Amino acid sequence: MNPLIEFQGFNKFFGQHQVLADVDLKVQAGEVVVILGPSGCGKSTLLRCLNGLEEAQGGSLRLDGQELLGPDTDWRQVRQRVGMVFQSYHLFGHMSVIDNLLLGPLKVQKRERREAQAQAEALLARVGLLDKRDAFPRQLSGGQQQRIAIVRSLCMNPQVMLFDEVTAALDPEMVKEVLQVIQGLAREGMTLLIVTHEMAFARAVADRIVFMEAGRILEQNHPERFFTQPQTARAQQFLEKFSFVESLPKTLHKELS
Amino acid sequence: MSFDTAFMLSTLPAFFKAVGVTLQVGAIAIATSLLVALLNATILVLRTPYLWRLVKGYVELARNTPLLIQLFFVYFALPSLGVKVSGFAAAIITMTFMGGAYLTEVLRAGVEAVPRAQLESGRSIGLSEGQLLRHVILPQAGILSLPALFANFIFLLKETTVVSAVAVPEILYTTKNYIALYYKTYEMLAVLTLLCVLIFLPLSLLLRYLERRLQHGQFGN
Amino acid sequence: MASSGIELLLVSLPQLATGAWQTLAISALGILFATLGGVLYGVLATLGNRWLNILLQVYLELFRAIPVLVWLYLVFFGLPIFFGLSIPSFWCAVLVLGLWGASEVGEVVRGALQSLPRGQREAGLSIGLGGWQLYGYVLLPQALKRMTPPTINIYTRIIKTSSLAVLIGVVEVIKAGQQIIERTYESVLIYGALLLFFFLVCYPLSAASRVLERRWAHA
Repeated sequence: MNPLIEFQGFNKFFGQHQVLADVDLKVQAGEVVVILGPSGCGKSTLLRCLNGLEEAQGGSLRLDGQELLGPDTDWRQVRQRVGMVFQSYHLFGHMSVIDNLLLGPLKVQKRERREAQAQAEALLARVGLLDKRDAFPRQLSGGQQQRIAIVRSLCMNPQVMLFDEVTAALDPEMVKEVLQVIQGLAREGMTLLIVTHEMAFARAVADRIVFMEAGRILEQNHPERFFTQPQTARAQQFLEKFSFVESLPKTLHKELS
Repeated sequence: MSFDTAFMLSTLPAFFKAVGVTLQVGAIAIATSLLVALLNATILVLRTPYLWRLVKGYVELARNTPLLIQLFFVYFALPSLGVKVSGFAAAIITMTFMGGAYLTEVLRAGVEAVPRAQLESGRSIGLSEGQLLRHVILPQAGILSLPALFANFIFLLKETTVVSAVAVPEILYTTKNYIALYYKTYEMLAVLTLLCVLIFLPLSLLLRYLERRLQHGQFGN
Repeated sequence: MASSGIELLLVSLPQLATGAWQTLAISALGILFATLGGVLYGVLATLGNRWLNILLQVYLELFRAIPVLVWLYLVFFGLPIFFGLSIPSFWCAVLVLGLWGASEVGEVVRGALQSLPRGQREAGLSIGLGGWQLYGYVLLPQALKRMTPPTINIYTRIIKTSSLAVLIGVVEVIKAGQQIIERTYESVLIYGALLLFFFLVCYPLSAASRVLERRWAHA
């Protein structure tokens, strides 16, 4: 089966600094891929290349068989098929929630108001925020705003959703409500690319873990195998930073268990 | 379209003098405006009862009326009240009137930008209000105001062209004069434009440099 | 003396009013073009195109380096020579005020747009908004509050600067006043009235700008 998304020999530079080097990554439709790695490894940049917020300098990037790296790419079209949710949600502060949701469908996709509104309200209800329909972003908590940001992207009916560290800026109590929404999307079979530091969540929701460092993919694996038996030393070092049990010397660990 | 460059060169001495007048008027206006503004700013900061309102009224009046009309008032209207002044004097008086108001606003904003913590720590080591003003507020307000002050100095220098209306022989007046005398409009306008660019462009770039340098030196913000 | 002064003013009112109308017309048109031009400048300056930015900078520095009165003369004397165009001095004034005003308003708009969080632009792009839509629905509306007080101050300056039009022969309020003075010699009264006229037009704008700035001050 042809992959929905395919990076081949993908390269990106910021000036002289190479941010992504020879990245080869295939994502099948319906897959949930979580990208892990230390800060600055290029994982956010990889996501941002997929919806054209960053330009690439070499290689190939295909979406549903269509090559995106070329002068003729209509990124406006691509962005309707690839939705993105940001760390700081970036809802449009001067508009109410419902207007935030309807802006894309009505002005970009030129859909019928009744249909678009029905969809928006249904999605709002699904994330439990229908009563905030007419509220303004500044009246809402971070977790509420992020859930609405997710709905805003969903209203465009994308094929793929990108999540760029969407819980990093939230107070801890609000992280789960957002992750549950993402989990719901995964269960429905939507193709997701997620960059996160929430290890437990990654382990629970991913179909595949991609581990990156310094612009390269070092390891790809099924989540259970990645977290219990990382194949590269760098991955192991990275995981140890997040766990407290595994850092005990191996002998002591055996004695305890 | 041909340039009479020989003619242009022959006018250079006159323009040189004109630039001198522009700079002279500008420099005097800047100096006197600054003095007026320092006085006003002090009154505003100390909130001297009656004077404070007077200063506010003066600033509003000077800032909401055109320089040209202020100039005409001093030069054409005052004589009928017995006060006769030369064009040069009218220029200085008017530009001080207007410049003083603008600079007062700049200094006032500079004073208000001094962090309150500075005032509190000054008072808590026993400084009197006067000492606080002299040693804490004014120096810091001065530094914070520098870019805006410099910008207004440039503005005052540019406004000297307006006083050509009362026959002060600065660069615009000289240009108009030569156009009227010799009809070499094209050449004279070219010289005028060149002079303006030579004088004001470096100042504008200097202002940008100053703004950038002082951005990084801002305490607190 | 005072009563004859008031009488004189009342008698001269029609002539002054005609002149005032010209002044206000020049100012209003200048403000209109400055606003339209300024918004265009601000949008163009935030597109990230290097050549565009250089062009806009040259335009800006030209209007900063050359005083407005000099520009008035350049256009008034120069347009006939350079382009064979002879336009009435009224429109010379409107043109200069519009172009100069646009550079000033443009810098304000640019600053306001650049002060918005970068994510707003990215979020707008991510739902497929194109150039004009992005600016029209997302960026400009949010920049509006930051742009308005400084822009009103620029309007005040345009109105005051319109007074310079008398020096290129426009029969506006100052000229009207001077014609009255030629007949009646009441220079103090007339110039005083002119000062009052401009004050009454400009002061409310300045005050409004301050009120709005305070009310819309963002953290």
